[in-house]
Amino acid sequence: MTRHRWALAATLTATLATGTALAETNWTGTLEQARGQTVYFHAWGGSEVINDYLRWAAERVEDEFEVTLEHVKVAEIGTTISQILSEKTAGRDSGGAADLVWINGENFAAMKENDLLFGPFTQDLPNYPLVDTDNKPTTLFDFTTPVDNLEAPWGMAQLVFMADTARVDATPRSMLDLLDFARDNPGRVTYPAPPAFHGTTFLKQALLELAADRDPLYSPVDEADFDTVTEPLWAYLDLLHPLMWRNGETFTSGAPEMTQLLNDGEIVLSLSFNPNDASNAIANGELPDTVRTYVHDAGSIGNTHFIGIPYNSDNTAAAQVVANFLMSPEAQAHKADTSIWGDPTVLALDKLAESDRALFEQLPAGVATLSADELGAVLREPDASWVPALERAWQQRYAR
Amino acid sequence: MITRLLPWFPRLLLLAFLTPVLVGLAGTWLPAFGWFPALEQRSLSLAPWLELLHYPGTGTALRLSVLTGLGSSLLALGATLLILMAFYPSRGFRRLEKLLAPILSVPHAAFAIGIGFLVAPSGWLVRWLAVLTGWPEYPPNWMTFKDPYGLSLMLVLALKEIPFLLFMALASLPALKVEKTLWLGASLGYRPGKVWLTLIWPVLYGRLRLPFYAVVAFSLSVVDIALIAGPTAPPTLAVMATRLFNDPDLLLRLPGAAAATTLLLVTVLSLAILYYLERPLRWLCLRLLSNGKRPRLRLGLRIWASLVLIPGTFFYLGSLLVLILWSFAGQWRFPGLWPDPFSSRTWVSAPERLLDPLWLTLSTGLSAAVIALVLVIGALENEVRLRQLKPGFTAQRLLWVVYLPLLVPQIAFLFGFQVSLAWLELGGRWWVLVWSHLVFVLPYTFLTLSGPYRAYDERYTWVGLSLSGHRLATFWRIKLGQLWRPLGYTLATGFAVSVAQYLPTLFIGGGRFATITTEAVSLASGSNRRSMAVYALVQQLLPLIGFALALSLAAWRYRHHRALQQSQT
Repeated sequence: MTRHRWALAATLTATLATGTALAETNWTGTLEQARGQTVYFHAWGGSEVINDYLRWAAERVEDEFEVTLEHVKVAEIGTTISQILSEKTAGRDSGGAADLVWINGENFAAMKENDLLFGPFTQDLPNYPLVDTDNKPTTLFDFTTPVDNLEAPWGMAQLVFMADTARVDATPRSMLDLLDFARDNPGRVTYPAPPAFHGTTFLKQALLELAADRDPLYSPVDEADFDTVTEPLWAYLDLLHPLMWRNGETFTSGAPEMTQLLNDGEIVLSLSFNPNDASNAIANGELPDTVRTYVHDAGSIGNTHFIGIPYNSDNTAAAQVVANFLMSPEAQAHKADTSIWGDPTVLALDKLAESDRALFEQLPAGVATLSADELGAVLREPDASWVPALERAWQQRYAR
Repeated sequence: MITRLLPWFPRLLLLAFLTPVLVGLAGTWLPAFGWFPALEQRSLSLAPWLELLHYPGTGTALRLSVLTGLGSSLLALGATLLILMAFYPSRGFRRLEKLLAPILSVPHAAFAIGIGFLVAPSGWLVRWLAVLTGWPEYPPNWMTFKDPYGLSLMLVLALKEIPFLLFMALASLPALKVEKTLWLGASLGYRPGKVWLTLIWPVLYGRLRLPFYAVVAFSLSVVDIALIAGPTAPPTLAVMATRLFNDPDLLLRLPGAAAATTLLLVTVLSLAILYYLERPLRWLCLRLLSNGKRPRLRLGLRIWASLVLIPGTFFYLGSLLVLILWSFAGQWRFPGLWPDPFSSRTWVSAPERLLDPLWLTLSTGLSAAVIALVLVIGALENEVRLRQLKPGFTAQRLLWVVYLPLLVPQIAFLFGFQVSLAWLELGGRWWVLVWSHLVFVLPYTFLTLSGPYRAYDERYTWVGLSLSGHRLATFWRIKLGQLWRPLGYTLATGFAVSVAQYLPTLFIGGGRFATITTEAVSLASGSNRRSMAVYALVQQLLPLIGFALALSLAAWRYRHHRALQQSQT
């Protein structure tokens, strides 16, 4: 019996070893193939901080893998998806314009559903085992859509609020608290108009906090009684809007405009998906150093952002090399540095080698950054199907 | 040899810019009627239209588009007339004329951002108030920008269009002999205002009609300015269409195509109404005005015109100043009048970021401008030939065709054009990018050059021919030699138009071509006003350098020819 078990273990180990060896040769092949290829990485270009980070990454992959990385700076990733769609319409199933795209959530769900993605591929990336899939379930489920190795985790996000402490003594601890806050500070609170990404997230956060029962939010929307579930949200917004910036008659276009208005003093609260945003903006002079980050007591929505490879890319080898590099401890630690970008890592620190872990541990904490404890509970994104339903209902009520 | 090639020029010209537009339109109409094979949509139906109809806010968005689009165009036209009536011809106007080219090259988005920073409740004007009076302590909750009625959008659009209409008017006015007409009127006891309205304006409008229509089409379908200065809930129809095109729910591209087509329909309809209203309005006006009365009362024209000119100039200078200040800002908060501290950090790090896009912008812009110039000269020479064959020949019909790309909303055809390029496997090529820019560079090249070119006195060529007997040399040395100034100016205009192209560069390049403008627009989606300002200023500087070069080259070329130094254009 014991011998038998030993034999089994030995076979298993051997299989695993050959498996690893196979993966290694495969990866060597990918590296070989990637040499000399150019990767067009379509990613939002609205932040010089991120643009600079990608320029650094481009230099690194050029040096190490002889891969040319071109950052295509888009104002909205939707234009890239349009591009891929028009290529598909024209039957152009190879030689597509984009080789890598920065996506998550609905965009991923749509691309997956319409077979616009290459892969699965992340299982072959040598750095993928370092990803903290155990404690960061959003690396496996993107807005509840199974990732299925079709996109590579790049960074973690959690909804945080920012307040200018020069004008705010006590920050709201919940959505209901925010209503009182708005009463005390009329015209100083707002949120971006859905379907802008951050606006929709604000709706989801409010709904998660206000809903009597959260369970229906984690199933497809057509299985739920939408009106009943969302009733508290609309009742809340009906009260909030008249107290908001410009009396809720006009909204901001997104988090970037909120940052500007916070700096201008038109509003006193803002929001972001990057817990380090405030520190970074302070370092840049985009926000005053009196701005601090806070979250609601009930926790806040968290998710992961990814990079995917369009189905018609000709440079999938180089695209994988870049995706793997961006997931490496070196690139992730550089990215997590608040003086660089401050985007939280997707890696599990306890899976890293000592020297790699040190890279993260050396990082200075940003002045307005919350500790992991202070960041509190991460609320899961509702099912992806809730997003269009909420956006449509919001527009129906407030944007007719 | 060359003469035999001439008839091909207008045809090439047509081919060069009509194909993309027509192909693109068709490529947008198919999805608007439910045909989108990439999304498994293969049945022709009206479903996308119904969906658009039921999409929240469509009605309001359409109303906002019509209101802001037509409102701003009419405001701009009225203001142009007012300014001309009050100040043309005068020495002050000469000065204004020189300012027009640089003003025209101000990028739309930068202008809108600048105005926003002037009039917003945390903007410069309120800051002055706060610093001078101590009130308000914090920016007031006023609706001075991005108002839900579209008023601020209308204002920004009108301000942006007045210089263009003035510019086009100035190209036509010399031929109308305004001064003599005003004299004649005065000798009969009529004040200038009445002479303008009854005698000059009707003729001038005939020549301004197409530029005005281009303004209407542009204002109805503008996206970038509407994003910055327009209402948000709901936005204008053009913004809504763009959003639908970019929505993660891919099927929304179908109603998006319907929305883009609606914009086209609205544009066509508006232009048709304007066209057919023209006659009855003219009749009515002349009937009301042709009464032989010579009212003593001064209209106070100059006062009214100043009410347009002074705020207009203020907004242009103010927005420029604000941009320059932001580009040097370390931090800048309410109620500070100046950045505190100043910092050159953004400029210092700029060259590294700007170099590649700058090079592409230059090479694309110059190529498009030169090709357009050659094609237009060819077409205009052909016209000269036709006029010799058939006296009385006019190219009025051609003009409509030339204008077509300016009358069709870009959003209504670029998506379809992108599909056909992918189909032909042409996307992402540099020459296709140049070609797509040509679509917009050609009309402006034609507009800028045709006036002076047609005004050239062919007798110089005859004299030259009789002396040298050499056609090409005569053309080159005598005709083009005299037209050096308008040629340079036209090149600069073409270059400026190319620099400004955003959607074509993005769509046709498949994202592979980053110009200063695409970089500026993508940065405008972020929060860093400093980088935005730096890019906007560079974007503005390029055409300015072009115009300055054109003018100084002409001055240098004519340093020994005093008569040509005085040339009007």
